[in-house]
Amino acid sequence: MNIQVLVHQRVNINVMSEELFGTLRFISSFAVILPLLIALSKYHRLSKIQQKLVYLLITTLVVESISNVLWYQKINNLPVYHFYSIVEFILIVHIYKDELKKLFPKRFFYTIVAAFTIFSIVNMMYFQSLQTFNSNVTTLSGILVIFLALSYFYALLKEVKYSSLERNPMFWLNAGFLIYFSSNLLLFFVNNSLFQESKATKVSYLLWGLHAVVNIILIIFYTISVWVNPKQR
Amino acid sequence: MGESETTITLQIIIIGMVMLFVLSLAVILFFIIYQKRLLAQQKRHQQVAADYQRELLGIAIESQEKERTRIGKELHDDVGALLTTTKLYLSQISPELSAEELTTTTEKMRSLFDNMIQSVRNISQDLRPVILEKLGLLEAVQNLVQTINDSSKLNVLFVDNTTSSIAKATELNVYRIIQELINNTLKHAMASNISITFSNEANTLKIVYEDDGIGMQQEYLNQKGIGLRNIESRLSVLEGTIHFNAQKSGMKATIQIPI
Repeated sequence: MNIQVLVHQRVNINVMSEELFGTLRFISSFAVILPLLIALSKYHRLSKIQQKLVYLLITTLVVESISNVLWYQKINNLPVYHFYSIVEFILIVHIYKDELKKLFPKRFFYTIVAAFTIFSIVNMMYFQSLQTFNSNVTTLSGILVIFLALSYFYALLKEVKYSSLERNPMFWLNAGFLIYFSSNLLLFFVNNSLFQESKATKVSYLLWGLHAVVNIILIIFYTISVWVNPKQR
Repeated sequence: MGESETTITLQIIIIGMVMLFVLSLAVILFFIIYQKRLLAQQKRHQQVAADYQRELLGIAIESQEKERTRIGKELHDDVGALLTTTKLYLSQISPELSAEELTTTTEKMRSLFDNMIQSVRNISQDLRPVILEKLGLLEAVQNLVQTINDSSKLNVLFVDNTTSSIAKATELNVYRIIQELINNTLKHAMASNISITFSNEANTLKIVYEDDGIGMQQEYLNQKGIGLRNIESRLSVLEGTIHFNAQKSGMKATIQIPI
């Protein structure tokens, strides 16, 4: 996921930081092409988890492309993220569903997906309109994914047979999710109260620049996750 | 929101983000280290278990070979010698022999055949006790106890307090274990009394074996002679346990086998 703030007014912007932010934002938007290319080159050898990750990567690329086009046309791209948040969460839960089946029943995953979707729609309609950043939804999805990531580590420790982590795509993916969502949790949470009226300031550039860095780290983890060849069972 | 207030909030958020980033990295690192340690531990355990299984297998093969050697020796020394003698007597029989000589020779041959039949019966009894097949474990142990009581100065007491029966497949192993323990007492303990008690505890067969001999030296338990290993090997098949209780004199072993 990569989120940009809409620039309505450009006040007090240091040209350097704006340029740096632009570059970071661009890299973080399209770096996802790298793992996608790797996945394409070894498409027939992808494991089930890696295939599920490819769906997430394709969705991310499509959303980033749309949001960038809107950004350059100076149209508010936040509505895209309202919908993306839901799809992204569903795809992430889909990845975890099989990996955590020993810990939680299938019903649990369907319930959280349904509850999250309803919450997102209610939030969109009554609390945070399509034109504002959906901080409530992103914060909730952050908390839930962190919970799933920690549960996955717990499930791995409880496994009777231990296998090497380096070659486990799910381990890398899980580590990436944990780092990304926990680092950005605070940012998602305070974004709206800090930057009111979608005002892009030096501060917002700095913070969303940091977000872009963490997003690039996440994509590095995606890349490793697609790259590794899990042992055939 | 004032300029300075924003700066402070910004600092807090940045520090918070960095801290959460470091924290998540720490969680991942901790997990990797912990998992590696578990992996190493599991490999060690598997190694120990594999070594133990290999050792038990070795013991089983060794005792099987020993048993074959013993049977071979018995056949050769006992039945073989008797057959050779009988053959000699047979070659003496000719039309020239007087009726009296013929009667003596045939009498001797008859007695030799009787001995041979008894020898073969003993060997086959050793290989697989018929009484165990026909009458079950309790009778077989009773019979074993009776044989020892009849033939030596040792006094064996067998008490059976069991309420439930044992699977047929388990019986032979239990019988061999008892045999091994008695053998051990006869060979090494210099005891004058043995007591064997069978009882049931929950879903297990509990056997308490005691003698009033010189007792087992800790060294012997540590080194584990072939007899003790044989018992362990059989118990591992039955998923049972043996425990040697500390005694001032004599020996006491408690065996528990799930039924």
